Amino acid sequence: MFKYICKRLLQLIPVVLGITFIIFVVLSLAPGDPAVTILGPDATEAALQAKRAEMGLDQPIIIQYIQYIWNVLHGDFGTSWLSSYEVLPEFLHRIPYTILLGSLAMSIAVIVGIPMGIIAAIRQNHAIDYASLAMALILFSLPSFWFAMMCQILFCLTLNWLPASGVGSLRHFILPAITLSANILASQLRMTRTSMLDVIKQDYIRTARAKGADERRVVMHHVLRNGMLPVVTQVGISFASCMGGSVITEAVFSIPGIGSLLINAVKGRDIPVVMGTLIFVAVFVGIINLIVDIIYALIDPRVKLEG
Amino acid sequence: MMNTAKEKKAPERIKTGRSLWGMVWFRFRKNKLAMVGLFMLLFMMLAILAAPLYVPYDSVVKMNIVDKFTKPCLEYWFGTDQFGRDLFARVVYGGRISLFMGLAVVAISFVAGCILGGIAGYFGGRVDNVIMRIVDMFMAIPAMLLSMAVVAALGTGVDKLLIALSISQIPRFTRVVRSSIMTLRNQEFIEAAKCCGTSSARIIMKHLLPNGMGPVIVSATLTLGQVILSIASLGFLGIGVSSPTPEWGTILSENKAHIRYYPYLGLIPGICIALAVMAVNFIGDGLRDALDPRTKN
Amino acid sequence: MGKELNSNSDNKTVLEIKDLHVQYNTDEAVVHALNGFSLELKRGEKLGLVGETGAGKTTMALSVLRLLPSKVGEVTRGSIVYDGIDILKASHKEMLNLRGHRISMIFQDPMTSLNPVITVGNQILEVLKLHFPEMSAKEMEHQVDEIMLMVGIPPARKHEYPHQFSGGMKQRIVIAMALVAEPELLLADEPTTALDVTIQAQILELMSRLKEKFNSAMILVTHDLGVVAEFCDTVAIVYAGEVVELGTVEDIYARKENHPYTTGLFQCIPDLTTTVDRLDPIPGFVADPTDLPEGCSFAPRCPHCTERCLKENPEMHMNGSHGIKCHLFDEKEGK
Repeated sequence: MFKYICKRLLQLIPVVLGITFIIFVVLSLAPGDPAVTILGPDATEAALQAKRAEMGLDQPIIIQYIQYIWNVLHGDFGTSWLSSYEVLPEFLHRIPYTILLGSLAMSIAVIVGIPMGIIAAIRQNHAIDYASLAMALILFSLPSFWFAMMCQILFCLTLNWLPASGVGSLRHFILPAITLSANILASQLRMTRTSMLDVIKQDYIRTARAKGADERRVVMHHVLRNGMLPVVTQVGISFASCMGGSVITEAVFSIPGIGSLLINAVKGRDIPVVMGTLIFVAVFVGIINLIVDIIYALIDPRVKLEG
Repeated sequence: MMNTAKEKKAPERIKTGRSLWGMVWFRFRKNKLAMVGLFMLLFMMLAILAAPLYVPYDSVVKMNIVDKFTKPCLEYWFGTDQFGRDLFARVVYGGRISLFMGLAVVAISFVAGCILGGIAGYFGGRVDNVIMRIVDMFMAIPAMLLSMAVVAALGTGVDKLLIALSISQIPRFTRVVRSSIMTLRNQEFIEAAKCCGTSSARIIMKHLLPNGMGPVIVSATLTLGQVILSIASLGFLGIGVSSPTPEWGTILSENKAHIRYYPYLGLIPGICIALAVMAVNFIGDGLRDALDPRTKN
Repeated sequence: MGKELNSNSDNKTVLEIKDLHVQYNTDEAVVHALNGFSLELKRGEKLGLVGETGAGKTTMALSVLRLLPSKVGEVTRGSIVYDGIDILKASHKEMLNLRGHRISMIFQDPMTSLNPVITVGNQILEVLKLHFPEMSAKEMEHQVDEIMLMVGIPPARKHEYPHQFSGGMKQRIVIAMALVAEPELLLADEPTTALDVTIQAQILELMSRLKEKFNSAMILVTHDLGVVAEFCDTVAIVYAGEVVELGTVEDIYARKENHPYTTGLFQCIPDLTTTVDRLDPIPGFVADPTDLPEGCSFAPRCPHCTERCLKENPEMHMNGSHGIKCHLFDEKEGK
């Protein structure tokens, strides 16, 4: 097990290096001069030259990349080109908000979506099945930024039930978490339902019934554990889309997390910040995938984690 | 007499047999939700394509400050925004970008995914390894963030957004195509084709792709919905298609400040996006059920 | 003879299926799986149910346990009575008590019949837990060990999962599961079809030893006439959801009088004692269950087909223990 985890973490390194290298190259090839970005359009040519030399921009791109990664390994993610803050401290300051928002949204999606999917599957073609499916179809098709904005207008500005923006208290996170979870909840529900229905049709479920097991036992004992296998994978995938979605939610509710940092960085082509965010996200997603694979192996005896 | 009985039976069986895609269409047609989705999508596409016939493009940008914040009425079906621009015209012309760019992104990633996934799945070994490791790299970053990173490099605009969104979808398609091809590759009819001396390109084009297309098409349809949402989201965040080219997300972003007092400014474009995505998802679900009847019931 | 049967309680009829009609309502068509299926089974009797794929054999077995796929499978007519219990009207609780305890079933495909995430020991144990709640845990474990030994699997392997076993081993586990509660009636649905020939022989050998031990009645569903001859007391030949011929093994295999379909089946078996250039297959296809012919369902393939056969469904003509459902035997009975 320990060996397996080490191996997976080691495998993560080339993936992260690869994607960051590709993005680093693409970002560097993009038009525009970072020295101008930093010093402003009025800077003298001499000052620009000096800045370029200082940043290593006169070096070949591969050297620049190696230099960057070397710095990252020493905990130096560089300085923002736009507002000259250090990337790492800014990150550490913002990460808790993003993680809180993301984990709340994931919890809602899992706690509501999976049981609803199970109930819908068990009561297939009953009213409750149709109602949950309809809800999932709608939530799945809503643009999350629009849903967030409309909820914000309705519940915060018009009804004044919840704070509209900021991060003062846990109450500030209720609406963002709910709106962020909407899409994920819908896909969780559908996945659970499909997977459960798929398992219910299996021969071994018929075997369980032929043994004389009642419906409750068939579901709890035989369907659930098998049906949860694809759902675990889906939850893992959802973490990634949750990271993407939180960018939008943070923007709508003015939450100072990683997402809102990234939006400004993208708009201003603030490459150190974009790179830093992507490294963080890639590592995070990689670790989540690892955890998902471990959980999967724990519930499916057919999967062996080989180191 | 017994002979006639026998002969009567045989041709009937042949007639009842349908081709694979004939069966798919037959089952798809029976799925009400899927047909509703298909008609909704066709209607929207037609309305958008035929827009110049009933709304001049001028109305999209023409400002009638006197008419600003007009509620939906006969003259302005969807009302007007803070500059008095006709929201109906903006939504209809905006759909060109939202819908057709979505289709274009899916088409590009579909073709690229088929080529990459087809090669990886068919040849396997080292080629497969190289392609899939690169795919893994791209998959390490959520699609939305990857598109944003590419936008950061390329800047905003229709063509750049097209590239950004395609890059983030190609890895997914490659994976789906590859796994589909992998399951088919070792089946006997492929062996048979190889034994007949069929070339690799022909086997991929004529045998593997048509037979493995089912899951890829389903995934393409469902991806279309997600891409439409992504375009709108990026537009809303101000890093997608820049105005004055209207696009549903951008329209919402511009109207943002006034939605509280003029709800139709938010409701109408939002519902348009939701309906388009829903139509596409209905079609995708219908296709999946039609291709794999076991998933239904 | 009838009196003898009644006086001897061991020869009492335990299962009686009368005029059973079952159909599957699918999106594309209505499939008539059983069309007037009738059968009687006495205590301790081993009945072989023979027919081609799609003849409705599995449907019959599932109907007895009331395990037809819900919403799709529907009993439209007929009755099933097991030991005085009307299966089609029995309460859910009664059915739960019957299944696995008094009637158990061995499914066709051992690869898919076992739950992949539960150890084989626990899957066998579940039957005991369900039906003998008063039994102590230790006793249950002992029973599981015993039945595993009986089917030839070391009890030490009960903590392993199905994927760690070969196909033949899995079928042994399925059999152990079916027998651990010592059922009165065993429905074996093609228990060896999915297995290699050598394993088939082992499994059949095992089953015949076990049936001697428990003396349960059994319906062996198969399409292998050879297996039936070796293994069963009585035979029922099924075609298009009906029993077209039934009798003791001697009645049928004597081949003095047979339904034309049975004759056809026998002609499909290669005979090593005589030299033939080709086997003699039955012409045509199995009757299409979505579109059954009027009259006798075998008529379109029958070499003796008459005008009457195409219009009128024949009755079962009994001659002692031997019954044939064919117009060819109308006159003979009349004589």
